[in-house]
Order: sequence, then C-alpha cells, then structure tokens
Amino acid sequence: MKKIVAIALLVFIGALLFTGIYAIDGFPKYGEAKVADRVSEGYIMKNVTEANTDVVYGVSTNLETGSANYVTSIVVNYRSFDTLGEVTVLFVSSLGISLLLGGFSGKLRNRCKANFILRMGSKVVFPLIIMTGVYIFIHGHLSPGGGFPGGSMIASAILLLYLSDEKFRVNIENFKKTESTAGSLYVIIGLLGLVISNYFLSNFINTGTVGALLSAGIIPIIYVLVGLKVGSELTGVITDFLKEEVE
Amino acid sequence: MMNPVLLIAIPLLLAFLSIILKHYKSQLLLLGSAVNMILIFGLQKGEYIIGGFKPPFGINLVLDDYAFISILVVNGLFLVINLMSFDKIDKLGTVLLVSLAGLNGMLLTGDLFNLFVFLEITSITAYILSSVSKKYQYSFNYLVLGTLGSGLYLFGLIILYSVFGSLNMADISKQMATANLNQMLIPTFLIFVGLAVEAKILPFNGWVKGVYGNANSLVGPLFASAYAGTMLFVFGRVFVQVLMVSSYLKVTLIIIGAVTLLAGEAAALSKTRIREILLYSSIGQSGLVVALFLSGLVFPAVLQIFNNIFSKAVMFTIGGKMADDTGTDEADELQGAFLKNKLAGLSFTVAAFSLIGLPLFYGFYSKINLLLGIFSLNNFWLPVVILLGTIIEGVYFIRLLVKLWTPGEEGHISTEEYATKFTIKIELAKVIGVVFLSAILIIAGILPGMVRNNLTESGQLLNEESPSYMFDLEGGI
Repeated sequence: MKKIVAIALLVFIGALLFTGIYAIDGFPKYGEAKVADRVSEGYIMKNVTEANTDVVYGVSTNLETGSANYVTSIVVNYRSFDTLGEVTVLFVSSLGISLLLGGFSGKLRNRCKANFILRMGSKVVFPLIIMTGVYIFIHGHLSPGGGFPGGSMIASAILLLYLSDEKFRVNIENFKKTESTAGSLYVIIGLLGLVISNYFLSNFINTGTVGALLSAGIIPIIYVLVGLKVGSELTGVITDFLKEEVE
Repeated sequence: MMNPVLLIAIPLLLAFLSIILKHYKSQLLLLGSAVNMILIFGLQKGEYIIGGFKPPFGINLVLDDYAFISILVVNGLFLVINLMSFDKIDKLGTVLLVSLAGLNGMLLTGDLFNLFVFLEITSITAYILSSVSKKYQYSFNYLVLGTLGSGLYLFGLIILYSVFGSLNMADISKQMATANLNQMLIPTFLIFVGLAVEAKILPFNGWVKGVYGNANSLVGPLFASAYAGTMLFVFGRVFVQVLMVSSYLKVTLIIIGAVTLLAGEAAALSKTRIREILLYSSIGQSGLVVALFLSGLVFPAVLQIFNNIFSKAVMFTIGGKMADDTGTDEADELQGAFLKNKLAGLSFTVAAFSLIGLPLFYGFYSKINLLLGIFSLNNFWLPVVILLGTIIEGVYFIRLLVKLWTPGEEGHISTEEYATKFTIKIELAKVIGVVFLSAILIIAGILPGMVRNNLTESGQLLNEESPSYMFDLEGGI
C-alpha cells in the first residue's frame, strides 16, 4: 500500500512539474531554444570581452579563449571557477571514503584465480588504456573529452589490474602526492592569473591558433592537471573500496 | 587591496597541500583560518570578476555589506571553534579546510550555479564531519536527504536557466522583476526545498536529530554556528535579493517557517538530552529566520542569525564536551555539572538567556527589533507565534539551567553531594573560548549601538532603495 501511494504521488508530482514548467512563458520547447537570448552565444562566438565575428578553425589567432572545443572553453575558461569547485568535490569525496574505510586493511580476495588469458590480456591492454586516457586529457581543448573522462580511464586501467591480479597493490602514497601536487598547481595557476592580470584563473598565456595542439593558453595545462588528479583520486577510491573489513 | 577570492583559494590550496604535509593538518587548518581572518580586514567592498569575463558570462564574487558581515562572523566563529576543540581536529584538518573554502564561496558568490557547486562542497564536508560520531546510519540519512535537496535546487536552477538564459544572480533578479511570478512557482519552490534541507526547515529536516544529537564538541558547534549561519545567510541572499516570490507562495512559505518555529520549540520542550534540546531549538530558530527573510525583514533576520549562532556555538561546545567526557548528555545524569565548572556554566547561562531574549543580553535587542519590524508590516499573527515560541524557549532553557546548576530533588536544599558523579574537565582553551563568545553577547546587549552601526548598511542593503554592488553590471544581455 505504501508503495502504491508513493508511486501515485510520484506520478502526480511528475505531471504537475511537467505541465507547470511548460506553462512558463519563455520556457523553450525541446530543441527550440534561441541561442541568441542566452549567454551561450557569447561562448560560441568567443566575443565576451572583445568584438569578434568569425571563428575559423586553424586560422583565427589570439581569441579570448583559444579552445576549439566549445564545452572545454566554457568548463575550463569561462567558468573555470566551477571546475575548480568540482575538482574539490571529487577531492573531498575521495578523502571522505579514505577516512571512512582507511582503517580497514588487506585486499579483498577474489573467489578464484584469474585465468591465464585475463592475466596476460590485461597486461597487454593496460598501457593502451593509459595511453588513450592521456591522449584524451591532452587533447581536451580540441576534441570531446578532457580531464575528467581521461582521468577516469586511467583509473579504470588500474581497476583492471586489480581484478586480474590478486597480489597487485598500488603504492597509494605516490598517487596521493600526485593528487595533492596537481590540485595545488591548479590553485597556484589561478593565483598567478590574479597576480599577472588581476583576475583569479584568468587565461594569462597567449591563446595561439584555434585547433593547434599547443593553443588555448592555460586550458591544456589545467586539463592535464585535472586528468592526473582525477586519475589518482579514483585510483585511491578503488583501492579503498577493495579493502577487506577486518574485525 | 585584497581580492576576496583569496578567502576561498588559500584554504583550498592549504587543503591540497595538507595531503603531502599530512602530519601538520591541524596546524595548516589554524594557519588557513587565521590568514583568512587577517585578510578579511584588508578587503574592499565591491564586485570581483573571476577569469576576466564580465558577468553574466563569467562568474563574479559579490562583496557587499551583507556578504562582508557574514564572512566576518562565519570565519571568526570557525577560527574560535577550531581553537577551542583543537584536540579533536587530528585527521579532519583537510576536510575542515575544504569546508572553510566552501562556506566562504557560498557567502561570496554572485552566480547561482557557482552557489550550487559550493553547496555541494560544503554539504559533502558536512557528511564526512557527521560520520565522526560513528553513527553511520544517521550520516547516510543526511547524505541521501542532502543530495536529494541539492538535486532539487539544481533542477529549479535548470528551469530558471531555460527561461532566462543566464545563471548570474543579478541578471536573473533583473529579469525576474518583469516575469509573471505565478508561473515561477515551480522553480522558486524547488530552490526553496533545496535550501530548506540544509537550513533545517520542516518537513525536510529529518536528518538533523541524528547528526546534531551525536555531534562532538568540535562538529556540534561548527554545524550549529558556521554551517547553520551560512545556510541562512545564503537563504536570505537568494530569497530576498535574487528570486521574487509571488504573494501566495510567500504567505505559504512564511507559514512553513512559523510552523517550523513552533514545532521545533515544542519538540525541544519534550526532550531531556542537552544536545537534543539544543538541536530542536536550532530548528525553531531557523524557521523564525526564514519567516523573517520572507517577510522582507533583513536587518532583524541578520540580528537573529547572530544571536542564534553565537549562543549555539557556546552551548554546543559545552554540551558536546560533556557528552565526550561522560558518554551521555542526559540532563538528569549531569545534574549540577556546572557547580564544578562555574565559568563554563556561566557562559552557557549567558548564551541561553540571550537566546531567550532577556534584557541586558544581545538577544533582547534582536527580539525587540524583529517584533517591531513585524508590527510595522501590520502583521499580527506572526508576533503571537514568536512570543509563544519565546515562552516555550524560556521554559525549557530555564528548566535545563536549574538542573545543571542545582542538583538534588525539588524542595531539598541542593548541595554538591547530589551532583553528578561524572567528572567533567573542560579545558582552558574551551573555557576561554566560550567566555569570549558569551562576553560578546553581553557587550552587544549593553551597547547595541555598536552592532547597529556596523550592521544597518547590511540591513538596508538588501532593500530595493539602497545601491548594491550586485547590480553594478557592465553590459549584460
């Protein structure tokens, strides 16, 4: 009975929200939002601070943000402060996990030994996954992806080693050092911006040509740092979760 | 000239560094909060842009009088509480540094999505701090409710963005002025619910009992003062300055606040554990402040927040310390505990009297102000509710104080032999801290002009007539 009431309430609230939202003047129908009415247009045309009419791939130089990937230009340049916040969210979450589970020791044992193909295969695939992860965060300003997906991919490679090899352990101290250094450097880059051009996290390096690997100023630097940080944090999370509860 | 972003960046930098310097976590925490305190006095009011992109495209920090007075108080209490309960910090140094950055971010930001990010940071640190009591089920409850709340806040914000095409507070507020407010009911209500979870408003406060009721002498005062104060300040910012609330919804929300006040005070009356009494009193106070903000009485609301968080910092420190030492905070088992700790007991008493609103204490000034404010709005039912709440408050606090000062049965002369068998040793640092905080309550009670002169600007600031830095936008859409 309780469940039926809950479902009925949920459906009711859902219907209420759905009809209520579409009753708002100016709430756009799916796919019909006008970019010109929104902040988005400034992000797409890269003309928030300076007049700019056309962005041509491989030709335009020294734009306010040199990233060819719109999403990256928003995430790591226009709204970089939010990203610093999100990096902190992950940092403090993994910290919480290690505080909660850090007391436990030992590694969870697999029920049976991994077979030959899994053991050998994972060793072959491991460097490839790492390379893809690194590629993704280095090219974050050019192609889809960036620090968060790249870092998660690196951690997934570590998870694969954990699953295939019972004796495998990472040296978590080194990962912690990487995490800490990368996080500190992100803040320090922000502070450098404050010193050099009077705005925290401002893009104080020349942004170069749109589409070149070495372009977009501080964006690739930050994405590499985020990638390293996310990778080592998630590795820490995986390591903590694999710990055995010892009475 | 100092940039207020340093108040966020420096604790964050120290938090990242404290992973490498893991033996100095608590020292780094004290360094961070002390540096912040010094920086605050070098701040200059104004609007600060981050990343060099003008709002609404980029994110900005808004340091007006309201933000200034709130960061001053929150950072001050944060530092004092950490000094008082230095022994409990240990491994929590990093978490507390992140939480300091998060609290400052929430108070300073001028962007609704940025507020969400800092809300998440702050609440995650709160979940971690709540798990210190090892009552994991309560922490889990808190985590589920808190996550749901911030999810609803985000949902409301998404709707606002779809309609207005901006996330900047000033920009949204400007566009909201011309919008049809009855249609804005859903996003406004979703954002209210999202903030109400953290602000402990009925019926979204199921987590409070387990979390506050088991908090130790470090976590308890932090939650009840720094966190609670920040959440209420943010509530005021969002609901007075950013969102316009239609008159029907406003009445409904004020009633929710008033019901929270009465329910909280009534629940406190029926409790016997010290921390439970305090936590229900905190819930009641939150309801009162929310009702005041929604009535447009910013100045009295800010005064009342100060009254609540200063008193609760004192009371939760002492209550938490008693529970840390004895393993219980049943008032009956702790009878006469103050006879052995007179200074701490005196501070607790001052805090309780100020919270009730007795003359000579700061709370009197704050209560008079809020009652006069409500009468000037020609609202006559809310003062009745508030006065009723005050009477209940007086009953349970005085009952508690009698128990803690005078042991023994009623009608007998109370002597020390009836007093609690537990030995409670409140360290010097805590005694100095609580005496300092309660002295502030007395001084501000005798010389309210001092508070008023520093505050009136903040009180008027959120009103329409006065200029606010938030609206000094260049460009916009």
